[in-house]
Amino acid sequence: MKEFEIILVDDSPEDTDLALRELRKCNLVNSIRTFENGQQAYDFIMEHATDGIPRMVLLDLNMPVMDGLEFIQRIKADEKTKGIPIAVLTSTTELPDIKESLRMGVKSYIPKPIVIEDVVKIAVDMGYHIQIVRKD
Amino acid sequence: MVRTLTAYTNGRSVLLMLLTGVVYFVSARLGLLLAFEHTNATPVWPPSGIALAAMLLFGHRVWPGILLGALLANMYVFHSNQAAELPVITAMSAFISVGNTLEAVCGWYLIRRYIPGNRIFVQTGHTFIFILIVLIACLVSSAVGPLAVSMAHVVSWGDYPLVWFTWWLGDVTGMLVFAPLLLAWSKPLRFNWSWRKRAEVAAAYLLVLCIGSIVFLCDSSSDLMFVQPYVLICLLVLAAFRLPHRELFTCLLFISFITVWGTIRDMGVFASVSQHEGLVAAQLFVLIMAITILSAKAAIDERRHAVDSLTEAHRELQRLMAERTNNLELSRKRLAEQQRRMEDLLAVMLKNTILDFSARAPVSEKGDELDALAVGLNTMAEELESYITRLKDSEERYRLVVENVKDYAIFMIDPQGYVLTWNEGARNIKGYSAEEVIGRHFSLFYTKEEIERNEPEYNLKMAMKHGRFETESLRVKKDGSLFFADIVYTPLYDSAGNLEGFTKITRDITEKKRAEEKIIRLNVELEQNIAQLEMANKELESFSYSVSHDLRAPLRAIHGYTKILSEEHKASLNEDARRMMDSVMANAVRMGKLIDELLAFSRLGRKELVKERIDMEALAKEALREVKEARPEHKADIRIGKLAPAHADPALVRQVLINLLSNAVKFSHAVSSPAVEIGSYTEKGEIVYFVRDNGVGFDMKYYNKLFGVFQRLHAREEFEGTGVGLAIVKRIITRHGGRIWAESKPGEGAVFYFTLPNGKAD
Repeated sequence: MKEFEIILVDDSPEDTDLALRELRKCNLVNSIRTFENGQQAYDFIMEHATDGIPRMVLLDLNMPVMDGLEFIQRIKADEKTKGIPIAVLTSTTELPDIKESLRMGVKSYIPKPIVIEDVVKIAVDMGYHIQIVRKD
Repeated sequence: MVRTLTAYTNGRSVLLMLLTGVVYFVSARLGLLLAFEHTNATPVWPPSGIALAAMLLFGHRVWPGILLGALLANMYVFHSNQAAELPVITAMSAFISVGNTLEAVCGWYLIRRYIPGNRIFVQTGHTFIFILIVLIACLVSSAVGPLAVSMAHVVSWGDYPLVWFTWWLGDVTGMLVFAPLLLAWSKPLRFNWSWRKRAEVAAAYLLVLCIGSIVFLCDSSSDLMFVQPYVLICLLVLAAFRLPHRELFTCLLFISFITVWGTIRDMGVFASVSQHEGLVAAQLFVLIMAITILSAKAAIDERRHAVDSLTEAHRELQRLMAERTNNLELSRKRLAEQQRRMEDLLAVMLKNTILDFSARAPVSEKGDELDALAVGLNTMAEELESYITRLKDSEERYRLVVENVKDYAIFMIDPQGYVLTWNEGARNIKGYSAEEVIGRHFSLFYTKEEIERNEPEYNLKMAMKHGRFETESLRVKKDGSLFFADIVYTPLYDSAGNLEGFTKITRDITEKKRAEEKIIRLNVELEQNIAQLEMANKELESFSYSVSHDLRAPLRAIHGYTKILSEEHKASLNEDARRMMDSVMANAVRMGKLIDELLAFSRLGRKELVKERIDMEALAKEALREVKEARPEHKADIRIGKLAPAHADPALVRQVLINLLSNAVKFSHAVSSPAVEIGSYTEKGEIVYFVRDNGVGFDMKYYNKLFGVFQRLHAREEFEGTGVGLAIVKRIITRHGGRIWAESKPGEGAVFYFTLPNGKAD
């Protein structure tokens, strides 16, 4: 799963679309795999995760089936996956949940709507060497 | 030896010695005129008395005078009579004078040895000892003298007894007559006698001289001649009763002189054939007289002295008795007075014992124990009287108060439970009058069920056990109706600890009970309402939360796609379309903001207040920094004055300050020199904080809209904002229990005030 270096989990197709459109602005777009809820993302990670992969999970909190907090809890509970960096996608409406996620070990968050600079900045903070190549 | 010599060199001693020698010589010469046949044995020998007196008066050191006087006198007389050759005369005279001297020394020694002091002639015992000593001492001289003359053959040995007796008699008589006389006259003369006394002495002298003359100087042929000497004895014995020693002894001298004189002249009772025999008889008479008078005088004086002593003792006794009697009388009087005062005190005490404290004990000026007692008693009585008066007053007041209490039934029951007293309140509550109820048992007020359960007895038992018993229970009125009562039982004990009865205080709490029940019911309802309300509130909050959240997602989509459209399809849109796209985006942003603020506002209701002490000045500075960052274009002059510390949730108060300062800056932005001030003051013990600006202000008629959510008093085009800021401020202040208000006029700025309770505590 080398090509899927970033996982985006969000139940809103518009938000996902807009995020992909934003990310499409740079060369990262082909490395992104999206899921509609935590369960799908979790199942995928459990099946495919290997050392250092995925590089990053961009996670919405308010989702059906399995919400973001439960997802974090499960990922952090598993020895194999607990090292995966997670960045929470926030809207200003979810302050308590953001705090809770930080308490559970999440180190970064990105306010919605996603702007490419934010993602790159966090990736750099996490130690990745990412170079953005603007297409426009 | 040296001492003896020194003693003799003393001029006075020598003088006395010479004087004694001369007197001795002269008197010896006179005495020897009457000596018996040139033997120098004479029945009249005054020197023996003079020598003894000299020794007694001047001391034994005069003995050489005596020795010398006697030697010279004897030698002179022997020589004149040509009795013998000179050597014999000298030897005889030496013997005789040594005998004379030894006689005096012996007499002096024995007197000093056996008669203490100088009072020889005032005690019978001493006088007798004196006479005995004289008799013995004269044996010395009479032993030596006659022996000397006999050995010198001046007299024949056949005459020796006569010579010896004459010698002894002369010495004894001389001593007994002259020694007492000289000793008596040697005492200082005192003439403080009364005329009567002087007359008496003169009469005595005269009488002695006359009768003596008659007896010894008259013709010896008279028939009654032999009787007359006894008259003299009688006279002198009588004189002994009346005359002092000196005068008495002088009388004796007179008689002695007259006797010797008469006898020598062959006259008087002792005139006889031989002058010597007559003289011996006369001297015997004198001797007897002397012994008699000395003894009589001593006896009389002793007796008189005893009588005087007795009289004095008697007088002293009488004086003491009088004194004692007087003292006794005084004591008796004092005792009588004290008894009277004690009786007064007892009378007062007696009155006190029957609790009559009006009497006062009399207090004398003496200031003694009884007075102290009386004062103490009076003070006690005064205090007790005033105390009892106060007690009575207080009791009376208390009784009146109790009787007139209308809302409480206050009454007493005896230990068995029978009603003793009744007050107005009892009548009001229970319906019985005092006459109806006094003497009846208090179980009257209990319900049948309670009586069956022995509740009345139980209540009294509990009161005795705990000192007080309170219960709330149903009670029965006179008309049979029931009421809910609060009852307190208190046992009453007398000072000895015996149960006197109980007080019972009953209050009708039926109304109170009803009210309480109503309150409880209302409280339950209220609690239910509150629970419902809280639930509704929570639902509302969670509703607004999800609404906000759900509203944001489509809004993001609208904004995102519009943005993409206007950016990526710019070329295919005309100017009007582009302007509309911008408008769509601006509105989406604004709506997002509105939703955020609404969410923040609703979240305030859920947030727990975390109160702590706040340094309001520091907090204001922090808020100001944030406001300045948010509005870098501002140009207002912002001053932070003195701000009292507060006790509140710092995060929320910070929000308040940010909102108020931000408003102030915003609404004063348009004026020429905008000024904002934040400060605090104390009014009626309450700290009031304020934020003042000189901005556009507002019209007070819209004041009621000022703190409403989404309420705006100005056009959005004029001043941006959502209209939630002041609503949030009000909500925060209200949640702290404080107040917020504002004052303004259009164009004249605005002042926002708020208070934070507990702020004043700091």
